[in-house]
Amino acid sequence: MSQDKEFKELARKAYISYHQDGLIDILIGVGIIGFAFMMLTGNVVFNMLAWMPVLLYVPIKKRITIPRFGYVQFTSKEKRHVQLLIGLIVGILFLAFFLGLYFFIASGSMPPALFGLVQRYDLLLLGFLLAIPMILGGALTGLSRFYAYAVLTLVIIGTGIFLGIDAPYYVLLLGLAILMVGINLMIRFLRKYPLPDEES
Amino acid sequence: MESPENNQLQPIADIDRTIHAPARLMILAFLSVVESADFTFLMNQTGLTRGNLSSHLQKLEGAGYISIEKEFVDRIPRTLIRLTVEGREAIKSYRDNMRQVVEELLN
Repeated sequence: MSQDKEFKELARKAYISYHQDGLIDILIGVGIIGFAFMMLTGNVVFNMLAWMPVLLYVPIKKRITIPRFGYVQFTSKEKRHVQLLIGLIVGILFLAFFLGLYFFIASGSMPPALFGLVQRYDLLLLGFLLAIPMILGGALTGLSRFYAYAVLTLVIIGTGIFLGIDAPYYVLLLGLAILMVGINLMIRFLRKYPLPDEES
Repeated sequence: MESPENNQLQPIADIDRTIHAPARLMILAFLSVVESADFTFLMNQTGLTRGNLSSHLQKLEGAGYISIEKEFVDRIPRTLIRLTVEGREAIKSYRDNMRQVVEELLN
């Protein structure tokens, strides 16, 4: 292994350690649980809970992770802007695809056979809707557990459909599973990186 | 240090002692792969004690290889450390020298 590769490996390990606090997992888990409760109750307040992670990620990271792990900037401002731009483009394309699909179905221009298929497997579509961002998240962040979450999403939803369980329950189960992983990671992180004493 | 009589040993004599110390090499290795980091991050990653890290950082700053800035974020003081251009060049030449030393020794 060349020294350049070793240095890159060093950066990758530090980057992964920075995200081993489980925070992102906890927030995704809470988001999915919120979504499941909205499906169960029809109350849109729970939808707000599903969007909370976006607002809470940075403040909690500042309060829990940085004081323990330390502050680090992995890339320059320019690189961060490029990454943000790529993320935005991917997000917009993703949204456009599903909005397009929705309007395509709503306008009735979809062939009946295909419409029947979509109607029949709408929950599996929901599974892909959840799994695709997880795969993208894994690819963009380098955190391999996101790929496992994508597989878990498809397995839980597929099993739920196969067993004929109501959708909100297996979505709830998925949220709880990711939340548990996040809590486990957070506990390990807090043990590994205690708060430095006051003097410091 | 005087030049060695055996020219083959010259790369060893050229090794930068400021970088060659394992603790300082670790610090520079981490700083070379990030944009900037604070004191706590370096302490966690290198496993050095507070006093030890502080003294090595002072040496590296004295050599002009790193810059140390103190700033306040949400009224909390933060010491931000980054590699300077000189530091980056010094690491590069250190690596080249070390590679040459190893090659000379193996031959």
